[in-house]
Amino acid sequence: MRGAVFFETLRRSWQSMLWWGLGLGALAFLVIIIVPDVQVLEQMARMMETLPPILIQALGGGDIAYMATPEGYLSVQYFGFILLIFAVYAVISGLNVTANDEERGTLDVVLSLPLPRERLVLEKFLAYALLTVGIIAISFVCMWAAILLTPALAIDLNKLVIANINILPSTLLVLSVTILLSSVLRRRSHTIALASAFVIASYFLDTLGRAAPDTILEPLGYLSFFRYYDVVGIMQHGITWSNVLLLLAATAFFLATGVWFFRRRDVGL
Amino acid sequence: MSAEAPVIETRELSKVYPGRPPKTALDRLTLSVNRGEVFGYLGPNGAGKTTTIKLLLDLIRPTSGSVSLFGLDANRDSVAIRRRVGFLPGELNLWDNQTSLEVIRYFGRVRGSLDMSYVKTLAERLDFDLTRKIRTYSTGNKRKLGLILAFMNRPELLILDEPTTGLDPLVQQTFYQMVQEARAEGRTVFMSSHVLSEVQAICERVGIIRNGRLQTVERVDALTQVDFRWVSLRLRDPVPPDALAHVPGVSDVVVNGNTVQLRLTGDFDPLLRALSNTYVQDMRVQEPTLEEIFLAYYSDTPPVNNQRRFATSNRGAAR
Repeated sequence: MRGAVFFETLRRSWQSMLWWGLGLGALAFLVIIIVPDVQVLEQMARMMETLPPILIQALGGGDIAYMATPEGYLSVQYFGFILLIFAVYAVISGLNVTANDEERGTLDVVLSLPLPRERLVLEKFLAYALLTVGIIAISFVCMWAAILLTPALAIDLNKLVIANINILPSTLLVLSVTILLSSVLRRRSHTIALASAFVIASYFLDTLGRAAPDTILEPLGYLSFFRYYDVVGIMQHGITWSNVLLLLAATAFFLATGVWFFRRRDVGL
Repeated sequence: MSAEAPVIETRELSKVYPGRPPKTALDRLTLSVNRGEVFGYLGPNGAGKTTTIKLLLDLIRPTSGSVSLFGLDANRDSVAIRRRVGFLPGELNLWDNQTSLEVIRYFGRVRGSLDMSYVKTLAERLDFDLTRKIRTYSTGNKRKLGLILAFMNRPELLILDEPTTGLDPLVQQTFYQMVQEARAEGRTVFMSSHVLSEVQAICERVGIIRNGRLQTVERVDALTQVDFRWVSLRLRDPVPPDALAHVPGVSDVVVNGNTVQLRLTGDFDPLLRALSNTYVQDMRVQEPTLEEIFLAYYSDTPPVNNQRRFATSNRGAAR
């Protein structure tokens, strides 16, 4: 029956989604609630000025004046690194699509059912996409509650919504890359190693590329999905649709390639 | 599909796993299993039984040859085939934090139908608690769950990999009954095993596989009528150890005082002539068990050691 895998994945993972959402929400809540007034933001921005450029870039910054605004503060202190945590969630979820079941020996039984392989992968992908939306939504609610309790951080709600939605395409990309790696490598440990390497390499490519604009690292930064995440740009200028479309197109490509491999190969280790 | 068409049909089916060197797990298997048949697939570990089953279910792809179920191509029509198949893997691994009922409902939703009253009937017959989490089950209970998952949709074809491993004798009897009922309903059972007694108990035909090659396919009753038997003689006077060793057709001679046990292939006449000057107090003949026949397929040496054979012969004499 269509949707059986999708709903089963939701049934098994909604509690996990709740904890991830609340955990990240608590983090956002703390990051916001500790700001007593805007002067603190200005002090922090001045302090950042003293840091080496690479560290400023690593913290997601660049425009120091902007860093002194509530949007800039959230860009650096929350959105700047939160994608790394979502990437971890995406790798864990991606392993649950085929790799964990294959390593455990469960995939044989599941695929002995009248279930096309592509449907198994696609329904799980959609379920984890929805769960990611759930985590973002829960953490957003916590974030908004903190902002209501912190008058010093007056942020436009629309910007905050967009910045949160902006997490989704990059997370889906990491999810699809993990699915592809699981399909090709089969083994959980190999998939974890390469997916982690992909995320970490992407992070440093972007950071180093921004910190060293006149070197070979600068163009290489465009190979990183973090470059298209660009939360500072989104907070300042709104959503960049070309970035979103590029991330979604890459997601579709990796997912389709993963399904293609998975359909053709032997199952079981 | 016509009524006579086989439910399972493989032709020159081979599977070679890549590696250095490549490993031939299955070598040109040609086999057919008919509707309503209980077919036993015998072989030791690593013989190619599970590889065959995975090929039937399209979990792995053949290196060469073809496999069809219900007249449908195992790869192209795999979903349609699996709708009609119930499968028990050799080792059932499920999600430890789920209960049996949750797994059963999930599988039912994937299949598009679930008869919970039949599931409960199966659980009662197997004395199985559906409410517990998978991680709390013993090996035997996991096996019972596997049987429920395989049988619960009353599939036309049951593919069972070592179905009775870990089951206690009482549950094994229940399983045998379930298989016989499936057969009586016209369903087909393909079961791999290395437990010969269960094949003897419930199968009509048996295929014996060794090192990826099918050695023979026979009816179980025909297989037991091979041309050798165990002969036990009690003589009035002791005989020298090599007294009968050179008689045509005689082998595995064990002399113990005035008692002789031997394996006789072919006619009795050479043995009787050799004994013509000997006073024979007792002579007992026992047909080989399926296990001995089975072992004979796997070895160029005598199928059982002498000690084992004595025990077998004595059991036969007692019967």
